[in-house]
Amino acid sequence: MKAFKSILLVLAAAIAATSLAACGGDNEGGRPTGGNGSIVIKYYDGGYGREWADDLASRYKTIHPDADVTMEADLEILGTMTSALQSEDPDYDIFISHDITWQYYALEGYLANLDALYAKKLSDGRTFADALSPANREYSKFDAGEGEHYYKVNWTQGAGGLIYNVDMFEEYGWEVPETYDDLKNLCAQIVSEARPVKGGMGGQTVVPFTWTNENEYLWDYVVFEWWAQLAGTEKISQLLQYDKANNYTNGFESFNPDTNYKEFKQAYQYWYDLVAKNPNYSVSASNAQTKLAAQGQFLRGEAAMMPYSHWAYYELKKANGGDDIGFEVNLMETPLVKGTQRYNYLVGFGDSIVVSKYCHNMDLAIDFISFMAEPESLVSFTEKSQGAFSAFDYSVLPAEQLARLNSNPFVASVNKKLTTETNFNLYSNEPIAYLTSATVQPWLANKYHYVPAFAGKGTTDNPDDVFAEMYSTAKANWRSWLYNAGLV
Amino acid sequence: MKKEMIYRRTGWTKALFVIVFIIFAVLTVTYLYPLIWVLMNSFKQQSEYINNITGFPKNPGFTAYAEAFAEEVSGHKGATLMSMFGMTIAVATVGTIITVLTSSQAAYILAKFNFRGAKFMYAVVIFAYVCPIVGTLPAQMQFMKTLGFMKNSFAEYVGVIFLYSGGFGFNFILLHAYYKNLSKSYAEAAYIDGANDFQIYTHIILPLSKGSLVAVFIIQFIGLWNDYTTPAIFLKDAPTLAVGVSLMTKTLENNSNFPELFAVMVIVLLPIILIFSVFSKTIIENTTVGGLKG
Amino acid sequence: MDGNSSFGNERKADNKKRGRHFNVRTLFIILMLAYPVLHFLVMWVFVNGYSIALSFQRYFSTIRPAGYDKGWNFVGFDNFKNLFNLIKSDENTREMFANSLMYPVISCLVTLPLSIIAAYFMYKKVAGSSFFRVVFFFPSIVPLIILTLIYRYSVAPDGLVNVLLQKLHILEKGEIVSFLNVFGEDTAAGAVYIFCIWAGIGYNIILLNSGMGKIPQELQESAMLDGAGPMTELFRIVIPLTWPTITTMFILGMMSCINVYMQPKFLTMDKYGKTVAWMIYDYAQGGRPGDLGQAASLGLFCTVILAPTILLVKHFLEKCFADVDF
Repeated sequence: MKAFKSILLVLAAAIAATSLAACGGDNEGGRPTGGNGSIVIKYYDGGYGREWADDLASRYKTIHPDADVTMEADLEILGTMTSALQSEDPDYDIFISHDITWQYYALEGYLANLDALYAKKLSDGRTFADALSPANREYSKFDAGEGEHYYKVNWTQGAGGLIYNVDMFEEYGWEVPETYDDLKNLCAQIVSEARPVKGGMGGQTVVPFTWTNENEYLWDYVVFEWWAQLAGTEKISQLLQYDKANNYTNGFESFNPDTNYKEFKQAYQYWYDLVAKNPNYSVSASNAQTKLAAQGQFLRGEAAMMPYSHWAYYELKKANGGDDIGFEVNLMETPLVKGTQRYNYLVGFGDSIVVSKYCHNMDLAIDFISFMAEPESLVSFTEKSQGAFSAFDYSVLPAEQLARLNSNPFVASVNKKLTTETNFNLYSNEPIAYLTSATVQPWLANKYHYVPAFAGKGTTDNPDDVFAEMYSTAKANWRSWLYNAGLV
Repeated sequence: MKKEMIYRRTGWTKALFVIVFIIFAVLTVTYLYPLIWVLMNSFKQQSEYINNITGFPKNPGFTAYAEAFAEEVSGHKGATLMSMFGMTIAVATVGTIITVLTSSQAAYILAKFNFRGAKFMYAVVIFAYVCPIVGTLPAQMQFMKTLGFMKNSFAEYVGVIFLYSGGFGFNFILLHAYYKNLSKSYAEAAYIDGANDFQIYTHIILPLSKGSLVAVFIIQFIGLWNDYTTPAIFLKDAPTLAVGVSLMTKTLENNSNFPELFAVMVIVLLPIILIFSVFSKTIIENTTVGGLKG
Repeated sequence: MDGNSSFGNERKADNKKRGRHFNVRTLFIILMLAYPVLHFLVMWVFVNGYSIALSFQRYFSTIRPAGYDKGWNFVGFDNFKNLFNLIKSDENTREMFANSLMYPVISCLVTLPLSIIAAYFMYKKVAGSSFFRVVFFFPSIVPLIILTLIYRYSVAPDGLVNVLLQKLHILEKGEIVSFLNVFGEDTAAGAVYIFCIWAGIGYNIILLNSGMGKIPQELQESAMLDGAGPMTELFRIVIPLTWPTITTMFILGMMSCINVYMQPKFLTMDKYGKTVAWMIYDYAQGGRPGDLGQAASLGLFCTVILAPTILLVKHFLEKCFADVDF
């Protein structure tokens, strides 16, 4: 009992101390002092790191020493932002993240109208709207019952597909594949050459791919581009309307594998034939290993290629303990399955910047976001994130700044994809898509089949079954989803 | 332990006990070896873990610990491990004291006073315990929001304590059983000496039941220390350890900083191991459930 | 037994003698019960009533079908009809229920029997039992997030167990103990159940052990004299005499079907094994008013099925053996 009493005493003292500390902490955690002139920005704490945000805020402060701008990284931004937006005295004024269901927030009246921002002139005389591509502008407008207005700004433009170990390709004389058949042959060649892994333990040879169960969706970036090559973007954007004209009644027809989804199914078939049916083309544990394991295999040269996206370089460096990764990595232009037209799937097209309706200083918020579109901010964003491009027009950059960006070969390869290919996205602006908690997506409920198909070594999850099942699921549940979305 | 309680183990009975011992020993290894492994990895360099997962650290150092102590939870400025320890102590201690007190009040009254409705109340409590209504979390959240318990971190703290402060949970059932079996002779003697019910409760019953209260306190304290759901939803602005560490884990995994993650685990586990090694006897002896006769 | 040890009877006698004492006593009872009862009325009666009311409502924003108002609308059983449609045709919803139902099966039919046997040997003082007791209890005082992390890193394809077994040449390089793999789509569920058993058995053993500790010594001694073997003793004496504890643990185990979500969520990194509690947690965490009616009706549906089941099982289990109360 005595020991217990003394522990209680210690606890009591600790409480007294910590409750004082906690009170101090409250002020730090919430809105910083500085009255109404300040704005606080919360941004997603992920693949692009924090350096770009710190740099952005500090450069803004150099120009506007009086402005009180704070940027806070938050991994759980999506979980906390709904309640933050509901507050009339919000802790945060601007939110920057992927997957923000901004249309829903606009409908609920949580978001500030950003028309003034789009009309604002940048330092070089262009309007903010001019600095965005037409697609980026178009998808930021929304009618929330008060006519069409801008409610968000697209944050990034991205690219994905296969990354490859350039040094290894050069050393062994492997050609970067132009077409799907080239890719197929290359994989066969890599396997048959059986190059030993450098520094690897006895008998281990280089395989074409490594990937991870944790991020199987990365294969989408290849498959979606094949889909676009096969179907063209017109057909895709049509089916993403989910029978809008008819009040979404027969929206499930978008998933019909014989009509609307025919080319998607075929694109998956290409993947299936290459990866699922050739288990020896990937590191054998790909279907069941962590991201770190796959990164490690790529870094150690155990695999030549890896499905990834524009944050690959940043993450690989992190996985390597922050050290340089020791060889050149490029993002591959996705090999063609048809024709010569290349398409770039805009990874992260739904990434958004939104402003709370109860923003404490709207002028400052608008000025700050427009600052993000200024040329020096573009350069800094891409440099600090080592591969991500913000959604604004990079062609206005002076040649030497572009050259500076492209001096990182990985950034250059992303840039090439973004600027020379036809950009498209799979983003639906229909309520059935954004009000059903990510159920109505290209893959229903974001249920992927790459892992099970690979695990089954090409005997399960074949394209016919997968797409037939998706169609029948959509058909059976469509009314429930309309109900969940509040449309019936 | 008295000798005669133990079997004279012969033949296959003896073999059975040996087999069970081996199974227990293997299970023990599965509990303890990962802890040693975690400790070992916390001394590695960040770039080492990916290539040396099971081995000893090549250049052992405390960098991971320095980083772990400095690490702030993503989205929560100032929320370091130390401040989260403080928050967790503040939540668990105050919450436990209040709920043990209210449970003891309710249990004492329902066990020892035969007023009209006492039996009904007990039946309702057992029913509520055995058959929880599912899915009330959203309603609870709306309710707490309406009451203003989700405005800032202080209001949230008060709200969480309020949520914890109920007197009719599992503590009630344990203490009710205890009071039920408590002899009434002490209280009767006090009545004769002219003490009133309040005095009897505070001066006789509470000290008498100190052992049980301490036991309930410890069990409840561990429960609140480790609770995740309530603080995750109702204490969003000031993370406790359980919530904060799960957020930190995501950040550190994103950054592939595993040694630091292991250091975080060690730091969180250390006080638990220390306290447990002091109180393990009390804790284990008082971990008990009785029947739930309503 | 209760009449004897309570103050109720003497109260009646007191009343006649001293009216004033009666008032003090009433005041005492009221004051003592005020906070607990108030808290119960608010957090149980009111919140549950509110939740039930929510399950019959829908929330609409600007986009809404004709005939509904912006904000909350009473819609009768529409939410339930929609839920039934999903159960009928949506694989994910059915999977969610199936996942949730597995936890009571695991904890009542696997963990509990195993722990009864283990606790019996502990009770019979298998060598080192006091040490084992401490070690086995340890997982239950560690925050679940830490415990899941330790387990996840231990059994990950590139984690402790696999790498160690590969080093010891029990496994080939690249080979893994796949049934432990929380990252494999088809193995995740099993790996989570194994975790639940691994992490939960110690606490169960301690609970049962403390129940067994209350068995009167004479009973054991008489069993000894009769020459009963371990099996006879376990089934004839120990289990019947710890039955109230076992019943309670069985009921608590049944409740796991509506409160388990952290184990699959933390272990599979939000990927596999969605349960009812997980779904409701996500709805609450997301904070969208439109989801609240759905969550509430899902919860009410589960309650309507679960509550009578638990009461029935409780009734049945309590009938199994004659009253024991130590």
